[in-house]
Amino acid sequence: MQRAVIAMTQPAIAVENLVKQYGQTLALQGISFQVYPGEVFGYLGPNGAGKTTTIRLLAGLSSPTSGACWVLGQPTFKNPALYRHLGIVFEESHLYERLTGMENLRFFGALHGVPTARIQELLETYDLVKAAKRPVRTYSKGMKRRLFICRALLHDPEVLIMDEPTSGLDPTSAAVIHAAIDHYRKQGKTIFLSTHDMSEAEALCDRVAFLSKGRIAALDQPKALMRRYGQPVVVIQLKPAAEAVDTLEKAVSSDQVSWEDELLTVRLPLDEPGLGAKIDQLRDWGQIISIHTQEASLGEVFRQVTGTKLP
Amino acid sequence: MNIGRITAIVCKDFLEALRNKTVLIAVLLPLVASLFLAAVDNPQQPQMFLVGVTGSESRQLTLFLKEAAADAIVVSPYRDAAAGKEAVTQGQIHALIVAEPGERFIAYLDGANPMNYFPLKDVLQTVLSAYKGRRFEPVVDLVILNQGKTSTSLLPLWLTVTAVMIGVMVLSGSFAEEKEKGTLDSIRVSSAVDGEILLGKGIFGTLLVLVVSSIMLWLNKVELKGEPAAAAALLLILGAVSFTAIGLIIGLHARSQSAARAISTLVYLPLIFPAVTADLSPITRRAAEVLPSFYLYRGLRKALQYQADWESVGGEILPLAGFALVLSLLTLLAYRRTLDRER
Repeated sequence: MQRAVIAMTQPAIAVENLVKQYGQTLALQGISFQVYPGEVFGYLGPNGAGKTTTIRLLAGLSSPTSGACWVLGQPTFKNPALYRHLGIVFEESHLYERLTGMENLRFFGALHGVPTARIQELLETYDLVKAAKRPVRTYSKGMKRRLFICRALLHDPEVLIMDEPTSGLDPTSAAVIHAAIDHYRKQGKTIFLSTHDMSEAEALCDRVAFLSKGRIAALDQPKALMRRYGQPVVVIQLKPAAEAVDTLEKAVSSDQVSWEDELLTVRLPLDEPGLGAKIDQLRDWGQIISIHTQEASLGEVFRQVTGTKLP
Repeated sequence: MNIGRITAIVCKDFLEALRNKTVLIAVLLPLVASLFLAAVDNPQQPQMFLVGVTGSESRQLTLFLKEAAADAIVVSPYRDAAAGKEAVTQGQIHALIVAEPGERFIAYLDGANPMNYFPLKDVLQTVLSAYKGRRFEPVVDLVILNQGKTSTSLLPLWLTVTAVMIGVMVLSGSFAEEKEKGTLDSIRVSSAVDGEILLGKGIFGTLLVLVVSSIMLWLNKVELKGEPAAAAALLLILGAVSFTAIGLIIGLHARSQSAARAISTLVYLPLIFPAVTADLSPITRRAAEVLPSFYLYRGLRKALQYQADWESVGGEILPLAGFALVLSLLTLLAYRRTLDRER
């Protein structure tokens, strides 16, 4: 996938030493990062890491305990003028369930001063024309999410903040959202994408930040992170001889071996000393079906960097 | 302030209200109940009193009452005074006459129901005087003024109840729902500013009270013109603004819709009860005078029942305007404080 060229100009989003405390809980412990115009920035972390808190701060719905954040050079807190340039997709679809899809968009369109033609255009783009006259409570989760994205895009914002946009969606609905993000990126817009789906982040994001316990543990391009922290492995699939299974499972570390499609799969670090001898030993214990090298996934890199595993 | 955005919020709230069963019930219930007020204006059935009779003359008296007062009294015999008094105490009969020979009879009346007490006293005095062969002579000719429709005397109370119900119950629930479901956040990340959001909500509540009140007046065939009509409208607007503001403050502080309903139920009765019982004692009067509902009820009574002009309702409009202003400012402060705290 071709990445958008990141313009190294004034950042679209800037966060500086941001701290947020709720009572005794320190949700964010001084995070800093910048998102550049035209960039899709992935914000990755498990539940409770502080992703939604960051988004509420960026959206101006919450004030920082200390530090600051800016969108398009403007402070986010108590700055209604900012919302002309900023679209937000919350984790839950905050829509009026008793109103139809069209009525919801008309209402939010009126708040932004958007013409009806724009509403029609978005309904067509997100395949909601037929459903537009139905109450939102009759929509599936995927349809609600699409409608909510339409709501966020009504005023064609320059910066789009998305909080877990594909969480709980089926693959087809998630693919529609991914296509929307890609389409929006191609228009040169900036997207801040909070997610805990590593494959989504790897496929869509120009850069990612790993958030763990209110701190940024790592920030870079996915490939760079994988190169820096990821450990390539040799994956060997073999059909072991019946009498060798017990011996083999004892000889190889348990986190390096698993059963996949009735084949024993062994993953050995590429830089492991005596790798060749180990492969030879495996050959003695059974019939090797395949052998190949594999890059570390972003999820594995996240686990290595933060010490936590994403669901 | 952007009129388009405020109008959008008002229209959206009306659309939502029309499809929200809870709101519809809260709005339609007082409307339907007000139809009973119209029934009060219809020719009424004469009141029939249940009267027990006992004593040695009870047989003659019963025969007389059945013949002479069949349209007002239903007579039933009692074996002794104790049994009859027990029946009165238990509310089974309205009165007991102990008919023993002599100049005067004794009648025991049920004092628990003041609505029956006075007409029954008149009926018994007239009928028993006739039984004794005397004519009961009234010494005064009663001429009734303000004999308008009965509903106009009940409507001010019902309009006050409705304004409080819509303002406090409906608005608090509606606002708490916006918070709970996150739609308030969706509005707050649009170009609408705090003042526009609150004004939109306030106008919705006020218009809803005015629409329901107008339908109620129309259903009860109340025709108001000129100053009384304008005074009633202004009173309703000021009352609606006050109660809507109270509803919004409740909605702001409630953590959920159910919490908002619970709080508004607690607030609703203390708002209404002192206002309608203000004339019972100096204490209830003093309690009522600190509530906007008291001024709304009294003002509407003057406007609807006595066709009062501006000057006559000035004493109600001014305090009510004060309540509307103070409560609106408190709502704005509460909005900023509550949402800042959540921030």
